[in-house]
Amino acid sequence: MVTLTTFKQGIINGLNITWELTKVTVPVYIFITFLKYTPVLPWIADFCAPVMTLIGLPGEASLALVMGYVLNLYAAIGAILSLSLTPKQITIIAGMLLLAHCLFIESIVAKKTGVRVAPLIFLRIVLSFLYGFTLNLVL
Amino acid sequence: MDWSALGKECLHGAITNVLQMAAFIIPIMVFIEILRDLNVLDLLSRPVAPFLRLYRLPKDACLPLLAGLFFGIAFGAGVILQTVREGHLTLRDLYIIHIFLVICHGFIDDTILFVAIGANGFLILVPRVLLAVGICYIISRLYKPADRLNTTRHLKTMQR
Repeated sequence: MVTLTTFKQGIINGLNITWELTKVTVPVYIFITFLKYTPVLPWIADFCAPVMTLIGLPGEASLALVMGYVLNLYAAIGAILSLSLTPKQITIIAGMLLLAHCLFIESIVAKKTGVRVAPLIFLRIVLSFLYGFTLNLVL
Repeated sequence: MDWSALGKECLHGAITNVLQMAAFIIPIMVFIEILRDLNVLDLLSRPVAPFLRLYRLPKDACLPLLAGLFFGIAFGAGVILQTVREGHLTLRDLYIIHIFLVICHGFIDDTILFVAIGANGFLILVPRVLLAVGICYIISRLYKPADRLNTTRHLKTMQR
């Protein structure tokens, strides 16, 4: 039954997610914006550029990708926001992150039901890069 | 180093971006809550069950798949655990469900967050769903329906 409580609960959930999002996104955003004012970001960017050009992303986007894979989507979003990416690049990195994110925590969840998680993680990362590579060619 | 420029960029960027994402995520969470209260999982179970036969999955696989797809992997895993305890799923079923869900889960709220920051919704959602459907189909052909013995052993180790 859809009642007033449904709407209230929805808004509460939305506010909760916004809060969770803010707690993670803002510090990451500030951290990477700070890095932009230092020579560290260009070092990382240059180091990762050869791989990242294959998927049509600038070298510094590797930070967002790694944060998404290891931590979660919110951290990755904080990183994406602090870099100035084109709409095409945002679509590529968003799709890649949706295919593979939060790999360790989500694997713990899968492990509880008794399946082997290493192949699942491997599959996600491979698909993520295949997606990025393909979309970069097509778009 | 230009600290005031840094401060300004952080403050302005953080506030506008958080507000923009809130403007997308709050209505979507209301929508998801409506789906939940309309019992969309039960409603969809009937039309979806025939498709599961393509994957040689039992109809008990339907609820965990839909739960993970709509409400995220943590909620989906809870439903999977429940279904496993009831003893209706083989190890093969579990793998296929997991492969589908790791590729595509929580497809409403996660997608909308990226749309909020400027990604193309169609391009980040449709390939993801197609990949999940396609790869699970391939796996379901390669991985023959399990022998009961293996499954029983698996379930025993899980209960320990």
